[in-house]
Amino acid sequence: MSNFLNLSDSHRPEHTGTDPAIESREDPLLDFGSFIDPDVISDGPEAVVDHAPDGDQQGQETSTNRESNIDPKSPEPRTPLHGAPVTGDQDLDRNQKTSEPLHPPQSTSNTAAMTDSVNVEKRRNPAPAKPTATVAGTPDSGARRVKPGADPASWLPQGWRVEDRMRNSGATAGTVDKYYFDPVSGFKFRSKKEVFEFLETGTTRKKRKAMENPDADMNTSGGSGKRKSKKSDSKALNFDYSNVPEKVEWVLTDSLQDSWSPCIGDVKVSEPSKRDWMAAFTFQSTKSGRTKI
Amino acid sequence: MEAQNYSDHPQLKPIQILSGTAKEGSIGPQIGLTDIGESEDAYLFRVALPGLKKNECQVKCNIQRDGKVQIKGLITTTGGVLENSSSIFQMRLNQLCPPGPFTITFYLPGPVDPRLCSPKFRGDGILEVVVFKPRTPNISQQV
Repeated sequence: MSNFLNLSDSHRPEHTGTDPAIESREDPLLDFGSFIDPDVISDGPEAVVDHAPDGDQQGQETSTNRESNIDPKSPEPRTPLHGAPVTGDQDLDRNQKTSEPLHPPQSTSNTAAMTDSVNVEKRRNPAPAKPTATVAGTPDSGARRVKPGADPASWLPQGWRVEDRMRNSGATAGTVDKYYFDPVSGFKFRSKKEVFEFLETGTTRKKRKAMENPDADMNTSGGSGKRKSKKSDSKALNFDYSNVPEKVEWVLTDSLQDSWSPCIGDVKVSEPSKRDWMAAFTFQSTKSGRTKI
Repeated sequence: MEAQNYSDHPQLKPIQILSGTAKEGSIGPQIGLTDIGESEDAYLFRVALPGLKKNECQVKCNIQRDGKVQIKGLITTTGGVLENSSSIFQMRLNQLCPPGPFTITFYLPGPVDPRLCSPKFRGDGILEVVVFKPRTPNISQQV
């Protein structure tokens, strides 16, 4: 594994900041530079687009909006502890809480999209079309442009933010990328497909990769890729390690199920934070392997 | 709660013969016997809490950043009266902790992150808690 990583690193030294899980997938189009196409929906080319390493674009993009402090790599904060991924329905609920529906008709189709986003996507875009041109690998700069007609408002859930960012350096300078931000988690997505995948599964692509591929995380220890993946893992926890509270009181609330509720002061810690704590705990436990007595 | 007090108490003198591990152990407080363990990044402690009924013991476990642990609870087992019996027993030997609220306080060997804690009150009357040490700053700054 590490040999392979080194090979690909030397091949493309600028991609050092990539998740190994992603990097391990050799991408024929990488050398042509990557691009973002929010409207891509067929299965081939946009996979290529989405797998373009973060580092590649990070260096090149400038934000036309204020660069938010959202970390682009931050995966899912919702805890993996509780097994089943958060369902799309919950996402919808939260989105509706945060903002009034701007596009009532779309709202229903979003619900549908969450239950079966792929189908809905296809239905809504009966002509997948264009990307085939890019699949062919033509490094023509025109082909890398974002399709101008794509209107995210037509499919994006309410409350989501869109940002246009122009790349200001590199071979693809001048290309405008659209980024989509989930108002709840703050996650950044680079394509419509990524957004729908997130809505459907409740997890980010990177997170799922990490889960499918646990060996990539565990066995590359010592390699430079290891640190990166570790980082993104702990960020997924949404846990602030630096601000340790002075005191936490754990109260046995349901003795039959042995469930404990943390309180700070006299205030019960909210369910989501508790889950974040537990996720962090689980992460720590699995990372350290065992507790010696 | 000193071992001394228990063994000096006249009521506690006779009637009991210990063997095996029970004999080797000292007579001490029945409640609050504690094990503390340490790993590279966490502490483990176990506290014996016999006599706590699981659903009415009101166990709380206060954990402070500096490693101070305070366990509070209520012992409901009552001396000479049984739940399903009309007879009253005159206690001749009373080593078990008397009913009432209690507090057990001790310090872990170092600071902890009280959020990263998983208390378990096992069926055998042992409270078992793993609590992680705080992470070092250089790891935690992952922005």
